[in-house]
Amino acid sequence: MPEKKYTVVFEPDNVAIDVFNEGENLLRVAIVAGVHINASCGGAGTCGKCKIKLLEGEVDSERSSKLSDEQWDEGFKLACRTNIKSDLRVEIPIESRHEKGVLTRQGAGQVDHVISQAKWGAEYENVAPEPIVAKYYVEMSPPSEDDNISDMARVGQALKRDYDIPKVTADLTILKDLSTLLRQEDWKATISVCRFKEPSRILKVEPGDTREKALILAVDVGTTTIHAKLLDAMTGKELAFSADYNAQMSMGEDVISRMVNAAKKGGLETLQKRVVKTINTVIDEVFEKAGGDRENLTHMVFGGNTTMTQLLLGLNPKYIREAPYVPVANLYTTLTASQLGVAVPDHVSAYIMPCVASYVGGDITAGVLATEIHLKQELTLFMDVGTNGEIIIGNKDWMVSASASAGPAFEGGGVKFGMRASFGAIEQVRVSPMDYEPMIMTIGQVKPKGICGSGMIDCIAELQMSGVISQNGKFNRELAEETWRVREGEGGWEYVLCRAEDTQLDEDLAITEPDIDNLMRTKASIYSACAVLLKSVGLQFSDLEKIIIAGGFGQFIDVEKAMTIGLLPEADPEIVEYGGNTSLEGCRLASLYRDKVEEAEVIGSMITNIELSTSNMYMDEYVAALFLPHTRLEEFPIRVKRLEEMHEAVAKGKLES
Amino acid sequence: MAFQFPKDTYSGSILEIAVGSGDGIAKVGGQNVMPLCNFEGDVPNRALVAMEVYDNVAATESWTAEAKAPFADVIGDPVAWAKKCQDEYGAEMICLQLASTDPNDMDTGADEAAALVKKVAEAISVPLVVWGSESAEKDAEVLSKVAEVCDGMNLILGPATEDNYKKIGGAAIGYGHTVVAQTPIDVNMAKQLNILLGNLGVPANKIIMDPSTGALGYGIEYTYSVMERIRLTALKQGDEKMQLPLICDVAKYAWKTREAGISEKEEPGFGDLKTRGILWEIVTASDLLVSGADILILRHPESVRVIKKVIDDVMA
Repeated sequence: MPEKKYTVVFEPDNVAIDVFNEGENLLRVAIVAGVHINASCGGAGTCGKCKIKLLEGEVDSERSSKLSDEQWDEGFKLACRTNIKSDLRVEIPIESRHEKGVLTRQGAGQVDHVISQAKWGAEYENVAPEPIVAKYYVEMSPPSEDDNISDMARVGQALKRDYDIPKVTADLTILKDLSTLLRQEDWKATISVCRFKEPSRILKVEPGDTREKALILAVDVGTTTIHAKLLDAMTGKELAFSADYNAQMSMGEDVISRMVNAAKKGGLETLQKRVVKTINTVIDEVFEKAGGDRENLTHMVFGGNTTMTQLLLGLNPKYIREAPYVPVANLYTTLTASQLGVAVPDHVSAYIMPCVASYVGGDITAGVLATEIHLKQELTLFMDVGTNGEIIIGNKDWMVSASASAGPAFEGGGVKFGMRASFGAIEQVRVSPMDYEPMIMTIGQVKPKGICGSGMIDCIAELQMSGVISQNGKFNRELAEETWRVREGEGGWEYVLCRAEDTQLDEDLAITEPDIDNLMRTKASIYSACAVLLKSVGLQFSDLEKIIIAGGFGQFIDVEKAMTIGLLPEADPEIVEYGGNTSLEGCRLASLYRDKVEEAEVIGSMITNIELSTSNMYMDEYVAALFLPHTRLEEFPIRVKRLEEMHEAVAKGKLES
Repeated sequence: MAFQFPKDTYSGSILEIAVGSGDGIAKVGGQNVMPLCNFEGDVPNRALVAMEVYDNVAATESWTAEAKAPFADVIGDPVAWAKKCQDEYGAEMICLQLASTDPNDMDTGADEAAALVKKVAEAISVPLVVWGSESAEKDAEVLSKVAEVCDGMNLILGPATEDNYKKIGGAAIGYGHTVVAQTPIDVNMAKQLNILLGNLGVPANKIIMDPSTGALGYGIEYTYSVMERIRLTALKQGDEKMQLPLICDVAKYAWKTREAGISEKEEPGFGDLKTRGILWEIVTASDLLVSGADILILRHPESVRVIKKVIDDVMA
């Protein structure tokens, strides 16, 4: 636990919360404290609704045109533009205040479970990288009459002597220039060697010492989104990160429709070209951000589900789709990245994370690698909420996997204003159960332009808690008479999160009933896959010692809210970790450390896949999970009780006012 | 030692629900055993047979001569039809089908429909089931009006679905009626609608479930499985949200089958058309009875006679 820095007290209800970071944002603190303050511009400071009055303490606050001189002098500030510099006492605006009963039901002042992305591979943090392709600097004595072994043998000798590399080979393209390059800097040279499987192979020869100029790319090839990290091979430091939507999206949202398209004439080629096109865009972006020369790249590591892996490699995924669902291969040898069309020099080799089965791929092997389930005793449930949802249950002794078609909703697909977790994405939402006014925070605290996964989880949980939607995810249409925010729009019923003028869009930003349907389907498919997989190994949710939820939700995930909507099983929030993009993280580790690649191959062979499509339990569990939080309410006793109490408190509060 | 019949035990029981009003009150449910397992516990109430009555002549036009014959003198007069079913054919309930309210049919208005319901309800002493045209929006409007006009008569109103449960449920609460919660033959969906009705404030003892059953030859074994699971969830797992009586609309689906209506000329192997439809209805109804039905909606007087006899035998 970090050390507490300050305490903020919200008046008039005297709700106190500890603050751990210097300069923490006041509106964010209010969200975490369960104190509702209307705020609809995402923290950009433009709507002016989050006016609070500073009673005591020191803050760093930006002056806003939304505050008159008089107000400013009286101590009014915009919470979203205020950073905390000391212990504070602030008064929340009158229109945001809730009846006491409602306030306590909102969990005001309780410990919050908004968890940030966990840091994986911590023990490797200060360990010098030792990648599968590394640069080795050697100084050789020039040949003489007594020592006239071949140039290649001389290099081999030096590598064995200095780095204990037993045997190296080189193909013709290397040999062509070898003699010239070795002599260029007087027998001092840097040799890039791929040490994946014996014998090691020389990939590049550079005169002199170029070890400091070595770059690595880790790429997560997702069905919906492609992420890449550029890494410094010497230090392991992340130099740049970038992401983009997979250009294959127009050829089907999920892997099944991609495969259908791959079967059409020229389809496979087009799909291969599109994914490479996106990879190239993302690579361009990381180099643009970090600078550097592609010539210095040594290798890249790709992680993707089995279909995405095969599409990237141009391998027909036909038999993945047809029973009994067989991939071309699970283990791949290293290959030349440029052969795939990736815009990198020819010497750059590519490693593909090993797959497990047709619907459990290298992204999951990478996920396990990053989260180290395979090294730990504790029984872990790992759920990767991607377009294809994958589940792992197990520990260091055994692991089972299953997959479910989850859909891209939490990554922004199939949600009207859905977007990736980037600047301007709404990432936190609170909805007042009294007047249905929202409190919104965006990534970067700019005007919102969409909503990302963590915001969607919050949104559904809050709309349910405030009674805007029923447990079946349908809007309570009668509320249209109480608030303009609930209305029938073009795409069906919706809740308006922000008016157009408070956004970067030219229309009101809303969450619609079809959005909620999609999100419920996604959460149901994941939860039911977990339930069936657990049952199939004779376990229950209560047996789990750790739950890791991975996926592109955003910077953090609110465990409470995820349980409220039944995305996560009701468990002690302390055992839950948010993995973020564990596929990318696994690729990063594998790209930096050779032993991690070996581990990945062991993981791939350790996992037993269980096919859910053949389980008659699955459909039943799925329908049961298509409810908030779940049809078996008894599995969510705390959340259901809280929901009931909240609705009672609100009814009472409304009656009194 | 004498043979001891093995007995199963159950942790839950089905709610006993009283429908109708005054002297005509009837009770359904209350059992704490699976169907046909009377020897394992209590079955305080017998399953009841309701006979259907249509509010429009058009609905009966496609009926076989055999199906129409018993009602030849009353078709077109729902009040007389209902009375005949009650007095002559031994109906234990009447199910008034408001087919004419269907927007694609005559689109009869809510006021007119409600006035008819009231007339029928007042003319009979047995409980009355009022069935909409299964157009979600229209049913919400019509059944709300029926609820209001028949305040306090404790009718059984339905079907309420996920799409209109709020209006129908709300009206039932307001005017003291019982609601039929209809879901498409799925255990979880059935429970979900019960939860939603509960959230709305409909008391559990005012809900009867319609799991959307089919007819013999059209997946009745699946229907059986789902109804069995609904009952196991209620009785074995003690799930309170599922401990409700079941109503099954037999007539509409049994008589709609190809087998019940096709001529002997077209299908000589199918046997006598006169008895075929009746047999189809009887076998469907007995299947649903052993699946757990508490109320069976039937059409033909002969089916009613036979099924009541079957129920007598089951209760004996």
